[in-house]
Amino acid sequence: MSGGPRLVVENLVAGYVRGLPVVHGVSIEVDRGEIVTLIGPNGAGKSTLLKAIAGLIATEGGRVWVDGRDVTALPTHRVVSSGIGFVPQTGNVFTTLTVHENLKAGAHVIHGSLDERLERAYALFAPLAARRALRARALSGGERQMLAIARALMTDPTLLMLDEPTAGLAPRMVEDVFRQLRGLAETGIAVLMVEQNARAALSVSDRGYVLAEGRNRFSGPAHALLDEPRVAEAFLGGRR
Amino acid sequence: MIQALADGILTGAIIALGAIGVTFTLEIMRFANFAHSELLTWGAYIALIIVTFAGPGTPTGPLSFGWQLLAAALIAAVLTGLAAWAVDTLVFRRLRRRGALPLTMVFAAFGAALVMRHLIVLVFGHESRYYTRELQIAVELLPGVRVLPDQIFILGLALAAMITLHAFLAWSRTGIAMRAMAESPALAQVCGIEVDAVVRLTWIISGALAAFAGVFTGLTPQLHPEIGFNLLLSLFAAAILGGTGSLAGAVTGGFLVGLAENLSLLVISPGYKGAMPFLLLLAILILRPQGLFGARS
Repeated sequence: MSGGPRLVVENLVAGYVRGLPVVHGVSIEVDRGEIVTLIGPNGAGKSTLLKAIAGLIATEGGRVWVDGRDVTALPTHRVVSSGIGFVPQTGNVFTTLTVHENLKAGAHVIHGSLDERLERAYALFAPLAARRALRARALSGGERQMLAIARALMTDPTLLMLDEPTAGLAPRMVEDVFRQLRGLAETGIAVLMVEQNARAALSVSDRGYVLAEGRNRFSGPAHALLDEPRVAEAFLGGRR
Repeated sequence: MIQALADGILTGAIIALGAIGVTFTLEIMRFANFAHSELLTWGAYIALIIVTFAGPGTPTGPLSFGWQLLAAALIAAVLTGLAAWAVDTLVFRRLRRRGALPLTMVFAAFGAALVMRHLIVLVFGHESRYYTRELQIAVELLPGVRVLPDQIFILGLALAAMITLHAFLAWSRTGIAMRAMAESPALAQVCGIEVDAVVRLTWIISGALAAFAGVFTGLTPQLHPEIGFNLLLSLFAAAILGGTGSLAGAVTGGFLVGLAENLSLLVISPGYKGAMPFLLLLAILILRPQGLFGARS
């Protein structure tokens, strides 16, 4: 594939109602093996941006490339085949399906045997292995998040997008999730996440983008954003 | 009493086959398809066309028909499945794409039902028709319980169809995709599941089962353009009683409605039989609106 960044988003305009965009021309890039975090106040268009990249909502302008391939107008089920794994913020597991069935559903686009992939998922997320026959509604919050991530990894995505992966989790679980993401990035996967827990997320990230009112506000290496007084004051809940 | 039980189970099997389709449409397409009953009629008449040309076959054993009628039922199932998908493409999908309200979908379904029913009247007229004129002698299963061999055969086939469908939903990857779609279309898409493909398959399965129900109704003993319509309320009562969304619910609901309709004949005059589905539906909606298997929301 091309030597450029894994994900390139250029001047993306998107929203839920045509003519009323929430994202007004945002540009971001994510390289292989790096974790990039999007932060910003509520309504900044972070989740909307992820949904637009995944093809869940229509884009009105701009382009999205994954590994040099234009995926801008593709329907969601085709975007998945092009190498994006997406973990939405809410409703990210099928509660009426078992853990095992959730993982199988996640691999819907894969033809042939899933045995190897399933075993790999259980190896990576050991607590799920013991619960494979349980319906997902019976899982704890942390286990659900694990299942959602494991499900998104079933297709071997080159880019993993997560919308608030630590929302509602106990602090110890938050650390676990971030450690898992770090490990995934080290295998070469590009990770793009939206986080409310901005300070903690940036501290495990390589780079970050600050969005406000649907536009790029700041961007740079994660540590630089953490040290930037204007970012800290407006978007990280004041100085430490 | 036992005779009423036997009759109830036979009617119940047919209602269950139809109710499965109603449940699927409610769960996956998210609307109450009042045209579903017409798929039963279409299935029955498509089989009639085939039987008219091929003949019902020479009676096999105690049955009143031969393999030709079975083959006709299978072909009718496939064609009715495709017809259900065609109606969706012509009517319902357009409305879904426009974000139609549930009430709009219900009215559209009533419209589709009228057109579908009257197409049958137009072609075949109002008179009753028969697949076969062979006489059948009821066999005495238990003292005082008489059933036709055809009916036992039908019950067996209906159960086989339900078990096959259950296995498909439980174990195949396409079955998992259908259940995933029923719970969350957005997440299903994120998994790479193509919504249109699942919708198509759902219509084909629903239509095929409806056709079986229609042929079975027409076989015991006759066809007329209202055979589907007359079962409409029973189908919905069964689907709602079962609690939408589960195959087990629709099947249980079907048998319970069939039993209730036939057992009620022990205490009320047959003239009121038609009111039973209404009463049942009312009772379910008042006592347990989420259905037997449905979760309380």
